[in-house]
Amino acid sequence: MLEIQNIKYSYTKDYQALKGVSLKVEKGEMVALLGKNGAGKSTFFLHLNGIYEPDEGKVFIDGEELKYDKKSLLKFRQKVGIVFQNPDDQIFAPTVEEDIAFGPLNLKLPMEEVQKRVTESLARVGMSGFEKKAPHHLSGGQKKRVAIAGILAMQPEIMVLDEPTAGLDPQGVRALSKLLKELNEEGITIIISTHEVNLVPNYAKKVFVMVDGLLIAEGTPKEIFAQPEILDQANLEVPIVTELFQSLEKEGFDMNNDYPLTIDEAKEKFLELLNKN
Amino acid sequence: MKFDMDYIAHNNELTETNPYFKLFLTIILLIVTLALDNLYFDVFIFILFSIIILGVAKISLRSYLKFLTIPMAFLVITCLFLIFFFGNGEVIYETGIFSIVVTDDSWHYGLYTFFRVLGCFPLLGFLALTTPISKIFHCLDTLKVPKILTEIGLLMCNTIFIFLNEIDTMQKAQKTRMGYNSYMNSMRCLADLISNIFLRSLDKSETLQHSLDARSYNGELPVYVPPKEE
Repeated sequence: MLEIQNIKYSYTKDYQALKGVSLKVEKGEMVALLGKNGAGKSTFFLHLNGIYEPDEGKVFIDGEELKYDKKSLLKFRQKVGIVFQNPDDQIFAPTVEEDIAFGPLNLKLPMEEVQKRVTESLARVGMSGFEKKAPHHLSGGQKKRVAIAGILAMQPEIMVLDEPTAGLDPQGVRALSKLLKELNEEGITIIISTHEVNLVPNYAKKVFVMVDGLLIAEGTPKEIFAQPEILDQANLEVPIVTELFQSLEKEGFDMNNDYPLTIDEAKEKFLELLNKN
Repeated sequence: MKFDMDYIAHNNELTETNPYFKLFLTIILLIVTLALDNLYFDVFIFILFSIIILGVAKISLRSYLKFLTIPMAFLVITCLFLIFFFGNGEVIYETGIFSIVVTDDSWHYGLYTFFRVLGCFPLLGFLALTTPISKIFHCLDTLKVPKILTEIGLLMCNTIFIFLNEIDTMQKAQKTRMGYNSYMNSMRCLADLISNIFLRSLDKSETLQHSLDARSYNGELPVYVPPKEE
């Protein structure tokens, strides 16, 4: 589906932001990219639909190599939608509906189709009724939803979100995770960069860890969160639930090297431990 | 209370009135006011449109006064200059300083300019305070105003709102750390603010370009026609 082969990118002569990143995401997957601030996650994302052209390396989408001429870029940008970290960078039109229509209109779709997509995407993110509102009068969470709707309206196969939960309140974070999970179940491949380790195991089947322009690990959340040295390099922590079980182990409970990552897993584990005693 | 013109434009009794009607009414009356050059007519327009803005559109008096203050300050300064430093003809008042005098010619100019502009304020206010900017752009588009103008206007409008927010945030940050507490300090803070906003604007413009590109921008902003409401 999406394959990246050894891409390198430098901003200046002395500063190489990406030092050879390769990764593969299968169709219908939902993966998370973890890494500290400044690890190169945002730079990496801008390569996925050809906004940045790598100094070296290749990007393949559906087995097709990404070319940097106008026509192929148009095709690939429709397939891969990027939701920017700061919605203010993305939303520019004076009303919500005009902003969402921007992508589909650039694809030269007929007006009825565009209108249909605007209504659908707004409904999909739970923002129906905000069509005529000015984006700068919306709250942070609402802007984020509008930004996502703007990408949804282009009906991408892959959706890339750069720290989508940054700056949202706890319920906003939860609602957004739920929305993304639903979108994924509807068939959109989703790639997220994030610091919210507590939520990652809930949605991501696969996790990549990026440090200083290199991917240093990939695997299931279970595998990644079981390697303290990797988490340490990436300035990450284990989910708070896992931390609880790690400290329980120190009290003498046997965990068999299987630490729960989510609330549900923790519940099972607790019941198991209680029944055993 | 903060004066947010855009918010007012979106939330008043005349927001949903036909924008073409408002646009044409404003333009025609502006031309008539300027062409007639009649003191009574200027005052009449001023009073009439003030009543429309306050009474019909139901915009609060405070917001309206705030809207008037800044251009009013410029107007007063301009007219003072006109009265004291321009024109020739019969001297009607001598100030006694540097032989600055008021002539009947300059008095006439100053007075008429003042009232003409005074009449135009509420007219512009009527359009600016009751019509969301997007609707004005939409009108201009259908009236075949060159796309390049409306597009630049649209992007400018967007950036201005982002900048106003940025300036507001930066100013708060400076004030929190004792900025603007003396004259010299104010000057320095303002200099920092201006240079920083310039750098940020470069940065922002690049990010905006990226985000537009990500949605297949091809150099032309398309126009969206919303579905007709049943």
